[in-house]
Amino acid sequence: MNILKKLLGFLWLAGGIAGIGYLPFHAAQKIAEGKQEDIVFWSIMVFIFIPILLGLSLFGWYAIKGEYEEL
Amino acid sequence: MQTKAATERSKIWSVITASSVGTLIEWYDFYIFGSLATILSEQFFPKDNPTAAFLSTLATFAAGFVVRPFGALVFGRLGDIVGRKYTFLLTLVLMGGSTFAIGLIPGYASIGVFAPLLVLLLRLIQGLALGGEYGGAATYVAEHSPAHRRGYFTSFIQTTATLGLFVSLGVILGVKNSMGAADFASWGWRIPFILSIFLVVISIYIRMKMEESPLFAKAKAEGKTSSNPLKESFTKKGNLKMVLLALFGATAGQGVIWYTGQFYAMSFIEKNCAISFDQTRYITAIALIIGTPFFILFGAWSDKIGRKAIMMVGMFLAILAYQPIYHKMYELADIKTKQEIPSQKAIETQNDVSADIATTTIIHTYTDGTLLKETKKEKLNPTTADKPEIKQEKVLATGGFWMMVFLVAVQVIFVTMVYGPIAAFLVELFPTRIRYTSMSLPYHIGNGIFGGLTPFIATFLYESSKTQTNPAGDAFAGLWYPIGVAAVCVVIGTLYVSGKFQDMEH
Repeated sequence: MNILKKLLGFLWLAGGIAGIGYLPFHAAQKIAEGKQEDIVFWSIMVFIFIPILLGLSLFGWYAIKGEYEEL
Repeated sequence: MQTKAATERSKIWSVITASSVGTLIEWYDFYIFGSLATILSEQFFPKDNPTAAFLSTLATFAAGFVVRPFGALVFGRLGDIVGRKYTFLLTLVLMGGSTFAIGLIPGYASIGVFAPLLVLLLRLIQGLALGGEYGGAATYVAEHSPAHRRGYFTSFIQTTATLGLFVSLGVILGVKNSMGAADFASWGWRIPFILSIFLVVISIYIRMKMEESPLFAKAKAEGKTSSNPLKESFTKKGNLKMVLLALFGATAGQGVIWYTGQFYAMSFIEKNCAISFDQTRYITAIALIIGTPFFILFGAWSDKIGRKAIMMVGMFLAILAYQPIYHKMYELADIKTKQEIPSQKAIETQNDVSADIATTTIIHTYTDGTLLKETKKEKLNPTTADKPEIKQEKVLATGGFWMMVFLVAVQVIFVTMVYGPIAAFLVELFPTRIRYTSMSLPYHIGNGIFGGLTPFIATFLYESSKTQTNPAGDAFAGLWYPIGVAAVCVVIGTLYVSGKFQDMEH
């Protein structure tokens, strides 16, 4: 079980990093379309989800380091 | 001995009442703001003014999810330093006071752009206060509860969402029916906001009489409270890893399951299935009445078999069942699969010459009893640019209606499985000295952001599914958001979250 926790840790870490790379790119495309609602919505999405994705990466990092083994 | 036990019992119910009234107001406000959105936008956010429209979007998003996690940090910190009682007294005053004040703001016609600015400001205060309210209520009840009944007692807080809906519907319908639709749209809409002050005063009175939580009082007496709960919660690895686990292994999934079952289902029935406004609300209300006792059932059961098992099974069942349930809901309202009775077709036409509009209403009756009302509005003297406005509204027959109630109730039961034990689960994850701060943040990110964004992301997925070959899009595409988040959460929760009961006396 602990090996699986560690292996999946790579998935959470990679998922978080991929999201951090993709989200601003996609948001910029939407914002460039110039719709007022899109500007607010996608700005908020970036503002909110970047820290969450950082959190997911950190969770993955902790899992790889075995921080959740004893739970 | 019996007297002492009776006093203890009476005390815990007072604690639950004091805590629940605050969350009830929270929901009351949530529902009246949502139900009166059309009137509010006319009063404060006229669409022809771009600044007002921009502020409207901000007011919707800001209070919904951006500000709540900040409120969790601000009031969580205060609750861990000053105490639970005074902090959630403050959140109650701010939240209830803001709701009350919205009812007093002059409209856009009177004070121009100050009107939407004031609404936005009050919504921000509400959002901040909301971020502190739930954590305070859950912590306060949990810290008064005996360990073996913590799930049962905290589950009562979870039922306030349903109560809030019914109180708001009762007040809105009561006020509207007592004065007529025109007066209600003109000034009567203010009454539900202003009436919230009664709930606030009652709640303040009850909360003022309560004592501080025994676990916090003990920690404070022993000098064991934290001087900097934010730093301790989010910079120390031992606690931060639990905050992340709470978010990704529980609250994110709980948030999407909850919003899907109690809100997205209603929106799907009304918009995608085109069921009438009234019938959609009856379906939702009955399903909520059926489902609500299960909050307490699963909360109590979690005291026996553990929180994790119930929450994970709830999420897992939702993941498996959402697509079939929503396909069945769609099918129930799909007239392509029904046979019309041509002899019962009724057509009515009304011409309003002064408004230059012709309204044609066609009522189709189907063999299973379903009615379809098609309303077509078009100009009496149309130009080539004028397109008729067509609206469809269905009313399901008894069988279809109850099947729809059943399908929504099943989703509400999934909600109760993940939401019923969550307060006890979260409070048990963190030590007394930083509990309020540590549990509030993942709860509000899970609920406010992952859950609150469900309608927007689901709509985005649906719109993205529209292609040239399939211009209508996939009506079920939006479901992949809650399914995806819940799936990640089930994996993380099952593998990483401990199933053991946690001792809170630390």
